[in-house]
Amino acid sequence: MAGISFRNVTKTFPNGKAAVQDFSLEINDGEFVVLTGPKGSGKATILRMIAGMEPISAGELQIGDQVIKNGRPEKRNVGMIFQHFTLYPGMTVYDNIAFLMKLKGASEETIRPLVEANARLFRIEKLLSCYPRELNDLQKQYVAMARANVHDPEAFLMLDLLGSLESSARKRARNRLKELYGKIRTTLVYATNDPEEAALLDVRTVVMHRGRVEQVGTAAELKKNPCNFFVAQFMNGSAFGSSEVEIVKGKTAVEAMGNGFSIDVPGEWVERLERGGYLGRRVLLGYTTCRSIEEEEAEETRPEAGCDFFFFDQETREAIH
Amino acid sequence: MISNQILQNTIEGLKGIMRIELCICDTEGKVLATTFPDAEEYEFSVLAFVESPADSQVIQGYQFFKVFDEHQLEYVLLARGAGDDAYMAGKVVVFQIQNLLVAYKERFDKDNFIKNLLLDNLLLVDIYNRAKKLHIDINVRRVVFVVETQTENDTVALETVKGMFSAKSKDFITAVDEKNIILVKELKPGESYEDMEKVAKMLLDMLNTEAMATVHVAYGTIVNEVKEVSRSYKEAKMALDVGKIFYSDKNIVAYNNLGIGRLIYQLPVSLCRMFIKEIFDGKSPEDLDEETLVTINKFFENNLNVSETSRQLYIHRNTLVYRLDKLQKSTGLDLRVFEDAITFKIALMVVKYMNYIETLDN
Repeated sequence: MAGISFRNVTKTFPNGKAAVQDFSLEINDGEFVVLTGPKGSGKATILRMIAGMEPISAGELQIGDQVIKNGRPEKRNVGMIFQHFTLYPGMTVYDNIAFLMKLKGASEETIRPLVEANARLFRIEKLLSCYPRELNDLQKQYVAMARANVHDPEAFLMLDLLGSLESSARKRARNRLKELYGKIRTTLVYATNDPEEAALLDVRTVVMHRGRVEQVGTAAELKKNPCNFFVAQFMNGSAFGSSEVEIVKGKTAVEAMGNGFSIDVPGEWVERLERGGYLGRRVLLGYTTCRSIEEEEAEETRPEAGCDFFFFDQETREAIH
Repeated sequence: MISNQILQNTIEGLKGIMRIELCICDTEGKVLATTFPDAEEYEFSVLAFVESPADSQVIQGYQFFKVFDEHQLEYVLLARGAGDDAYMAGKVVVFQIQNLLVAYKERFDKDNFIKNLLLDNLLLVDIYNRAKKLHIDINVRRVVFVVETQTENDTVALETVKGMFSAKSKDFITAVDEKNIILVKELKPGESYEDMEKVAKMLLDMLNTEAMATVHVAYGTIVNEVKEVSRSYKEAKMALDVGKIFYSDKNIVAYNNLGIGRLIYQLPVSLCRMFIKEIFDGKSPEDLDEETLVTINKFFENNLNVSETSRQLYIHRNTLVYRLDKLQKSTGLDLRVFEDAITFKIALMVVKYMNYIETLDN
């Protein structure tokens, strides 16, 4: 598959609910991109539009040479694995992978080499005669991936695929996914609710909120330089705290005075706050705590030295530049 | 009748075990399945064998067998070889095909029973008698899922659903029309609506990803007896309809989550017209401009919270207040007041329902 371009794409359902609004994004041919955002941010709708399963209401979606201005894109040969994937319980791993090809009337001579090659790719060749009940969750996921890859898709679309696994299996599946991407080098769009997952995949990440792109960058960039309060809060997760403060110029330093605390504003922020005319005004302070979870649970967190600080305009909630 | 594909798979499997070439013909000599080429050459021999009183016979180096289904000749089987081995192998294959016929008929009967059960075509006494005869548990909790596909006769979607559930023989998969696949699912002890939501999500994700089918999934309430299965089916069908009118952004709709939409769906259209006329004084909420409608919908989505709505619409709070004031002037309803907001919300839903009925009439 060639690249995918969303240009001001909007998806409004007949009941008036806008799932995607003015969405613009360029995905290069063969790129691995993560879409992240809370539930209902429009990630699944974006994947469904790429797959040709959801018509667009406005804007332009270009997939390879095909430009869709209004309506349903053609169904494409994409490999999709969504969160609630399942394997056919009454079939062996081999039959699970071969099922769709058999249904479409392909001969055994065509099917077998394809199934075996994919089984080798995912290192499940010894499991081909097993039934799903004999597999663990991780093995099931490899079978699902092999099943999607057997049709030689032009792109892979994955929705919260790793979310259902326990942490060690998740780590192995993540590594296998990256290894697979290294081998097939096809466009891979991975959507997840979990910003940590995005951080660990360590590829270009798109933060979505209410159907819009909030910010694009690597997870590290998004954590360090969020463009607004939402991105800072979402990407830093439970480590993030916030408080309203007043910016006051003291005798020796510029201070942020909050309810029962005050901190010296770090140097790089002083200049930005002064430039924006925020001295003497109230702003929103965001900070990432460096305490352990136990400490956080024990008492209310407060900003303190050693934290990373962010300052946001109280009205627009945009980061102060 | 058993498909030729199944017959072919069966004889190929048996050939793999017994190393004997096999062929199945119908009673008119037509080859249905074969493991060797040029089986058509034996057409006349088959016709002659059908006419003969023998149940098995050696002809041209092949052992011929008759396969009966309840005393009715159904197939002729050819097994290569004239010795005892070929005879014994042939008998095994005949036995296997006869069992396939029985299994097929039992399944067909079950399918027929379930279809008639869903469509309320059975008397209560017949439901119990036939369920007993077909070994279908009567007092088991079940729920009906309806999967609506976008294309008619979507065989890939149907086979995908069968593949997912047929291993559990107590679930039934059938279709009563061209666009709907029906799953009658038996619940395990302790399973609840939460689990059914997971099943619905699994159906949706599998059909999206495997069959690449755009589908809507709806399910009814959990019923305790086989006689109530049709109720769960009707509820699922209704959920599909109500979902299309009011919850078009959702691909999964549960009957017990339909809320007020379920109530409006059952109102007579004349009453709806009267209500809209009274509220909007002959006008329609659809006459409102796009900007106002977007504002109203967002305001409802945010539980009448002015600050959050203005933030999400990227407008100043005062602009939102101005729009709401303007709406109050034209309709007499102040959306910041709960009573007025609920009246407006219901009116919007009623209009959607009336539009839906109009499209059906056209």
